[in-house]
Amino acid sequence: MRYMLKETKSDLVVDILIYLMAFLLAIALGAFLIWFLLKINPFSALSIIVSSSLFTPIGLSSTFEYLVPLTLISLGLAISYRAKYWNIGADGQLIFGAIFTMQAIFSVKNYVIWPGLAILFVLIMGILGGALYGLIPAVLKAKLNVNEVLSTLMLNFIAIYFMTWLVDVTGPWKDPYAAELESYPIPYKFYLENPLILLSIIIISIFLIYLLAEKTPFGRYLKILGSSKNTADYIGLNKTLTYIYLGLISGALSGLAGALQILSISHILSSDFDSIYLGYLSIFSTWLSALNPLYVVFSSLLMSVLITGGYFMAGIAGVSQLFIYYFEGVTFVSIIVFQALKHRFKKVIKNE
Amino acid sequence: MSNLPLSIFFADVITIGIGYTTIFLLASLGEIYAEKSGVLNLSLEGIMSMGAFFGYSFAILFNNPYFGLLGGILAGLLLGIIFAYISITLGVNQVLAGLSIWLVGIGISDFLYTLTFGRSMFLLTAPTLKNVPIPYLSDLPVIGKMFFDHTIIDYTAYILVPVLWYFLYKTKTGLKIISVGENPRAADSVGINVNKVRYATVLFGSIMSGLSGSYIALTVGLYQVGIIAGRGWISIGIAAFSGLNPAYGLLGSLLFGLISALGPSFMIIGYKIPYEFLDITPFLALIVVVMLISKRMRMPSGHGQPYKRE
Repeated sequence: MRYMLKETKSDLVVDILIYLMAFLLAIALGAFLIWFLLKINPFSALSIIVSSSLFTPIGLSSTFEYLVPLTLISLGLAISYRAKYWNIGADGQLIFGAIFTMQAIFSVKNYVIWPGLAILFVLIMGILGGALYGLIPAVLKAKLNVNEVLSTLMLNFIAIYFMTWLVDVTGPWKDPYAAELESYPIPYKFYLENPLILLSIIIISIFLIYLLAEKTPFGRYLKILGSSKNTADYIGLNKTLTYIYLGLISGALSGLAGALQILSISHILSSDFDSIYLGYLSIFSTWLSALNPLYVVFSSLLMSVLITGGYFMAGIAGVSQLFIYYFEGVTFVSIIVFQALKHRFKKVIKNE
Repeated sequence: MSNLPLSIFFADVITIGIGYTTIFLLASLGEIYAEKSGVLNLSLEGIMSMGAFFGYSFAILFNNPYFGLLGGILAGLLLGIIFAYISITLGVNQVLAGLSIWLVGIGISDFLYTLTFGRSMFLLTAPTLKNVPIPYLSDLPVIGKMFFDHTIIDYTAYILVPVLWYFLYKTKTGLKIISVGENPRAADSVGINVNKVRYATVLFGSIMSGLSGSYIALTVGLYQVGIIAGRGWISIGIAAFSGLNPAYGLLGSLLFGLISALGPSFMIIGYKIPYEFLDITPFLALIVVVMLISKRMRMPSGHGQPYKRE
């Protein structure tokens, strides 16, 4: 924590320079395989990634599609990690948010009088689903001292298999006319595709989480709990309640992300609904943001650019979409290596 | 249901279960050592995937399953060195380092597979590990086939349990590992090189999970995308369940090995349960078990903390 506070005060230009270097190295490494096998050099790979994800209409909309869930999930994770509550179960919470959303849609679709209200209701159900699923590991940690890394991981698998069953041939939601494992599509009146609405949801969430983390006693508790459990005990902080709130809040944000995925992008639930592991990716964007809610949107943007660009690169090189996992992994490794080596680099850069 | 399917069912559960147990045992024994020295290695799933791919491709290239095992070890070593460098030397948060190596491992192995063998028109099968029946014992009725007719890796895994237990608790080096995990600063002050010990345990753990991954590929002679299917994560869970004791590691591996064998066994006798429910069971069971024993569970004090000399 101390180290992190020091970081945020440091020289911004040097920081950006270091990130840029990490980014270049990552792309060089990421493109290495492609270059090796298909002779696309790293520099053109970089230009493909940036230009395709930000300067083409289809790429830009895809980048935005990833930006929304990544930002929402990372906000919840940022405050959790401040308290050293290692929730890595955002995928499960996202999926349960989506499942609750679908259930809500199937329940009310014949009684919709005012679509706006119906969408609001459906979103709230999604939030509820995520929050309830996020509550489980929090209660387990607070009451039984179960390691949250373990429980959230297991809950992710449970959620994935449960969702797969729902849309599998024996499951209740399988669309018999679809070849893939897919549910029935949601009715058109539940579509929420207006980017302005999505953008405002992000901005409101950032604002609320920022207030919560920086301007309330709860936010201070998180920092205390994160820096020292003994201090937290000493000042009489209610750890149980803090973990439960964290579980609920981060779960709710992931659930909201899941609901929005259904309403704005996929419109169906399918077995590869979360095949890209948005929850795990959010862990990285959370970390890159130095756990600051205001920076989360930028690190999520970086992540979204990488994902979209990675897909484009895979498409241009004519290789499998699985390339994206390799590319992401290599990128994170080089970014965290550079982050860890930052102070050494800083000395070098400042001496020159 | 007549008597016949039921007895077949139990025989299947045990025979398949012992194979699954080996997978969990190899990976969790390695993880127990790494965690005992204070390093939580979350990258097992990725290392196993890489081990499976290397195992599969080495076995095909050299037309020998034992070269495949070598490939698995090599894959474990390769990713283990990267993980160790990031988490130990650089002191990056272990959760983060583990997750990124997991992604790298999954990514490289699946991606390379689609680029190489996956492009082939035919499904290339690698030579599989042959069962080595133990003389006399394997001739015993019923249990002979169940327990004494497995591959060499199965036997090795079970023999490793007492060996690793003895090494950890009864030898000087083992106590060094424990002291590094419990109190790295004190260990350092008596002249133990903390990071060196941690490198050794993490590399050992990675090699073991690489081996486990190659075992998965070499028992079926195939590689497919997502072949590990969460078994790396379960191994991490088993390590936690065991309280980092190799003996309980065997118990946990057996438990989850048998639970995981339920699904395929149900399929063999043609009992109709959605397979997702069967796939869920080990994960659900792990949560329940960890809940039940969590009061007794204790991790080393230095667990999860990178060590920096001041």
